[in-house]
Amino acid sequence: MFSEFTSIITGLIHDSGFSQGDWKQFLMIFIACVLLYLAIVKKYEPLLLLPISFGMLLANIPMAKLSSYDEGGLIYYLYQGVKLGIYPPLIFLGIGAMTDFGPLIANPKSILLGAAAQLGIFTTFTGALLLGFTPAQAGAIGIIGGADGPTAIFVATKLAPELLGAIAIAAYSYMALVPIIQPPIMKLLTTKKERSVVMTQLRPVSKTEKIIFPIMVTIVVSLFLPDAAPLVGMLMLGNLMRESGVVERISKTAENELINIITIFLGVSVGATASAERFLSKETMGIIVLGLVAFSIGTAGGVLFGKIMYLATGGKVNPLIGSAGVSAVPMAARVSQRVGQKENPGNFLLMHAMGPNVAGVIGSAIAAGILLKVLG
Amino acid sequence: MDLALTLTLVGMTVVFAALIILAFLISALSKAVNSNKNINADKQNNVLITPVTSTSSIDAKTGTDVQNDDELVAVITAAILASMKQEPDFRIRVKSLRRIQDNSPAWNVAGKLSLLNANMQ
Repeated sequence: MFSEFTSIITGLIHDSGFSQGDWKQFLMIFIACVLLYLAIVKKYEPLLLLPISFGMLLANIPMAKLSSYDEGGLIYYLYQGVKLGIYPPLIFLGIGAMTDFGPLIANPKSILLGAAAQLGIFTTFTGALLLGFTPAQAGAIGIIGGADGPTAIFVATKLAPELLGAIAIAAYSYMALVPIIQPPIMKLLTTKKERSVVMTQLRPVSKTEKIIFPIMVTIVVSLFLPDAAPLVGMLMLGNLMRESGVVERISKTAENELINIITIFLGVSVGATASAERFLSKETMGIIVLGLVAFSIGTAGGVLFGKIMYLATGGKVNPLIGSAGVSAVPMAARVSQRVGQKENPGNFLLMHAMGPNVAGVIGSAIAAGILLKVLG
Repeated sequence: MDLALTLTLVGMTVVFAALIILAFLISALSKAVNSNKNINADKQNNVLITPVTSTSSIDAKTGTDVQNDDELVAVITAAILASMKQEPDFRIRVKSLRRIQDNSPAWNVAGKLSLLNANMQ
C-alpha cells in the first residue's frame, strides 16, 4: 500500500507543471508578473493590461492548457470572440456610448488633425517592412500607431494573428506612456509663440446636430470604405444611443456592463495568445521598437499639421492640439492641455483638443479599413 | 519598398479625403440645423449678471467689457479669495475677466439664483 502511495505521489509530481515546463514558459510567467506590476502598481492602462498580463500568465502555465490555442479549454472558447472579430466592435460600441463628439462638431476643421496623426500608422508599416515583416504583419504592427486598442486587435486578428499578443501588449503599454512620449516631441516641433496661442471658445452644439452626426458618419464612412464599417458602425451606434436620449437603459448597459464583460473576455484571451514560442522571439522586440516609432511619428504628424493650420488660420489654431489626433482618448487631449498650460497658465485647451482626439478614433478606424482592404 | 510608399500615399490620401468630406458634411449639417434656431443665450447672460449688480450696487451694462469695471473686478477677486479661505496666504492677481456664454439649462440658473437669494437674506 505504501508503494502505491509513493507511486501516485511521484506520478503527480512528474505530471506537475514544475517538472514538465521548460525555461521559456517560466520566463514568460516572470514577464507576465512584471506586466502585472506595471498594471497594478504603476497603473498602466490597468483595465486591459491586467487581464492581458494574467491571460499571458495562465497561457504559460505548463500542462494547464489555458492558452487561446489549446482547443477545448476555457480561454479557447473565449478567444473565439476575438478570432471572429466580435469583441473589438462591441468595445467600440461602449466607447461610442461614452464619447462626446460635441467639440468635433463645433470645430470640424479639427478633424484634419485626426487624419494627420494617422501618419504614424503608415510610416510604421514602412519600417516594419524594412525590418523583414510580411506586408500583412507590417500592417498589423503599423496600426499600433492608431493608438486604439480595439482597432489594433481587430486588424491584428485578421492580418497577423500570430503577433496578436505582442501587438496588444505594445499598443496598451504605449497608450499608457502617451503622457511621457508626447510632450518632448510636441515641444521640439513648436515655438513658444505657437504653444501660447489661446483658442476662442467653442460654440455650443445642438442636440439635433449630435443626433444626426453618428448617422451621417456611419453612412458616409461605410459607403466609402466598407471594411471600416464594423468598427465605425458600432462606434456611431453607441454614440447615437447616448445622444438620442431615448434609450437610456441600453446606452447605460453599453457603456458599463457590456464593455466591462467584453473587456474581461478580450483581455484574458488576447493575453493568452502570448505563449512562449510566439512571444519570445526577435519579432516581439521589433514590435516593441516599432510601436514606439508609431506613436512618435503619429504625434509628430499631428503637431506638424497643427502648425500648418496655425499658419493657414493666421494664428488661431494652437499646434499643440494636433498631437491629440493620436486617438488615445482622453489622455492625449489632457497632454495637450498640460503642455499648453505650462506655456500659458490661463490657456484651456482640453475641449479644443478633444475634437482631434475623437476625430483620431474615426481616422484610425478608416486607416484600419484601408489596411484590411489592401493587405487582407 | 514600392508597396510601402504606395500604401502610405494611398492610405493618407484616403484618410484625409474621407475626413475632409466628413468635415464639410458636419459644417453643412450645422448650418442647416442652426439657421432656424433663436439664440437664447442673450437672455441667460442678462439673468446671470443681476445677482452681482444687486449685491454691490454696480451698474454693469451687459455687453460692455467687464475688465474695465474696477469695482466689479474687485468684487470678483474678493469672492475668489473668500472661497479660498483654507489658504489665507494665497496671493493671487486676477489678470483677466472674460464673460463667457452661459449654456446652462434654465432650471439650473433658476436654482442658483434662488440659492443666492436665500443666502443673502
